[in-house]
Amino acid sequence: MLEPILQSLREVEGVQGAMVVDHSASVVAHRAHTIYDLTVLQQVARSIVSSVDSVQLIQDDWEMLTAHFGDGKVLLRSLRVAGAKPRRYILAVIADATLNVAFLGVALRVAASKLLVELESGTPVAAGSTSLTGSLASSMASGTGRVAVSDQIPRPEVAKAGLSWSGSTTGSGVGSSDVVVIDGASSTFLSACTKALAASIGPMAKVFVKEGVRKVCGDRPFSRADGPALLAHLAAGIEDSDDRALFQRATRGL
Amino acid sequence: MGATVRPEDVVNYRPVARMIEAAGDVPSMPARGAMSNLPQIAKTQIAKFPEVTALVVTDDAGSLLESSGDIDGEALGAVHVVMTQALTRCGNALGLGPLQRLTVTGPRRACLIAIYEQEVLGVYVDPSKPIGMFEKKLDTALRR
Repeated sequence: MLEPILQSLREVEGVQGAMVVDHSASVVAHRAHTIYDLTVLQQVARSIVSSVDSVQLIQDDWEMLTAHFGDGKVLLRSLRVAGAKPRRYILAVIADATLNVAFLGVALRVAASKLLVELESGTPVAAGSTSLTGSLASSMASGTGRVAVSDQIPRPEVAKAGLSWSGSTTGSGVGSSDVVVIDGASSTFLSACTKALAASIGPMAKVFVKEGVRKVCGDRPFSRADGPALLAHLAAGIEDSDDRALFQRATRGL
Repeated sequence: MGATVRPEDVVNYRPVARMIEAAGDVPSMPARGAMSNLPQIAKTQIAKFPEVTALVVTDDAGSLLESSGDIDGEALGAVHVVMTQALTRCGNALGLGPLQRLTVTGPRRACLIAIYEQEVLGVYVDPSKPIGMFEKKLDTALRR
């Protein structure tokens, strides 16, 4: 069972709650102060997965994320479950300002290894867990106000297409300028494509174009001939039909 | 009985006070560590720290203000902003107050992202060096 392991984290001074979240923002298990009920934790889980999706764009092998707030901290630890069907979970710890991060670090390492053993053995999802969706596109929507994504709708196609955080990609995407183009025309095409996509999804457009190129071309350089495949791939990732149509209109002449 | 106890008067209820603030019933606290010229400080001081491999400064909309090192500042800056927005929502839901900074560590990279008023500073440091020491150094540089 996962809960006793989370309870051991709760016993560290300053820790107000701990939970395990899966890639779809479902709360798999939790132990928290009563002020953090399941509804709050589900909301938090969704924000956590959104932030982790972003982290994986720049560092897909991240291990720890520590967020310092005015009155407390949130620590996230990546739990990668190996095996025939690799999965990724996140151990989240909520703490107040009295937390000693060094003390928690030890407890966190111990808890993480125990949780991995449990998760690898196929511990069933807790009955109270709830599937939440939205993820990165939700955060993009709230950040730019351009993409309308409801909390209740499924994960956007961009996520399903593995453009960003699916965990199956190798190497960090945007950390280096690793998109290679075959000529100047190809580069111009990508710039125009990014500009058109930015009208729909905002400043993350460049990231998705890079990921799209990686998906369409693999390791070979991008050429103008790959353009239609890339455009189709990006269009499929825009969930809002108006935004998709806008993108398709803007890129028709490319 | 009858005395009005404001949530912010009770230290142990601080998270609750923050949750109420997030709901809009209590005026927000002023932001800490006001900075006047973060891009300039980043360029002239922080980028020169030996641990720093790259840095990027953006505004809260993800527009690039300053970048140094071998990174795609424009793309990374946008990711940093999206990341901080998601964590800010997380902090609001938990009543933990405003997000001040975050660190991301892994075997190949260590990154510190700090928020100052309307600007977001992302600093990439050598992962083999302790990031805690660097956080203190950064605080000093930014006079927090």
